[in-house]
Amino acid sequence: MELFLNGNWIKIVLNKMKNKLNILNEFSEYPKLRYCTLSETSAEKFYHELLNERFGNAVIEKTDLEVNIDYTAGYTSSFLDEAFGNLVFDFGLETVNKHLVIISNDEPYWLDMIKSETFKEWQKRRKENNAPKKTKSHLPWYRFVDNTLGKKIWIEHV
Amino acid sequence: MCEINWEILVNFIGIIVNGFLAWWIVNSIQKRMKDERTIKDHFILEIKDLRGDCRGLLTSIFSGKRTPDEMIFSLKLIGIKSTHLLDIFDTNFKISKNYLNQYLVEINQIITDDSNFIANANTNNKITLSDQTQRAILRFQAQHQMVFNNLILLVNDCSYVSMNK
Repeated sequence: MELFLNGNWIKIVLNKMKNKLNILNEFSEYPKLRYCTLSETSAEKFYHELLNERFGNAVIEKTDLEVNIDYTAGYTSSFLDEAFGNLVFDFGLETVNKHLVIISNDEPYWLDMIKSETFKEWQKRRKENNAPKKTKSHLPWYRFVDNTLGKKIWIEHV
Repeated sequence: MCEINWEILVNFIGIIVNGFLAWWIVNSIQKRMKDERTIKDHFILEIKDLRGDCRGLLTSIFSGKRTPDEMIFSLKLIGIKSTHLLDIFDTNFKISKNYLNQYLVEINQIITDDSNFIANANTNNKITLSDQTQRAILRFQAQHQMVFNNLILLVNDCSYVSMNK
């Protein structure tokens, strides 16, 4: 894409721009617990309303998704585990590592937990097809299966 | 006529130069050691403050004076303080910035996975954690009671590397 600005042609390479998701600005200052039935600002809600859709689009566009988890009032470990764990369950660890960038300057120990514990455990769940619990019905969401990205309701809520 | 004794003069200059060098070396080393000690003492106090914050949080949690939101916020403040302190330690003392990672994640897990915490997360009432969680916190404190003391020992034993160099 090219723009004519101040007498100059400026080339914008769109496919190199990073998609960004800021939890404070786009979701909540108070992200809380794992499931929709436990809290209004749950990881399940965050995943299905924002993270899955944005990440799926980033995979389709062959770009990265940058998720900034700074500046909220804090996290429970279960929120981060459920949100980023579901991503690994639906897309696989290789795709997540390739397209996801998490920014946490305030609390970098969460990155350590997500990468060393959450990703490994949820990749194991993906291989064993140990599906995550859904406590509410959700709109169709992306999942990477047999090298194909599909979008449907993969799990009915309990 | 006075004749210059070059040997005496050279020796005299040598003594003065050596004396100046000795004074300069002792003075600069002493200053460096004093500066390093002052910096280490400051950071040791910061570690003690951090340990005090952690103990204060756990004490207030045990006495049922905190709401779930307050607990998460306090954990976050402790996390930010640890991060900034360990960033400096990593740069200036070559101590791993991940030193407290496990401690910070584990204490968050124990508190926020508690059944009373989960039940009151929406209403945000002041809560007392379940007996099971309180026992888990006591076990956690026992297992990690040396973590801050060991960090103090590390800071004390490491050489300070100035960022200005």
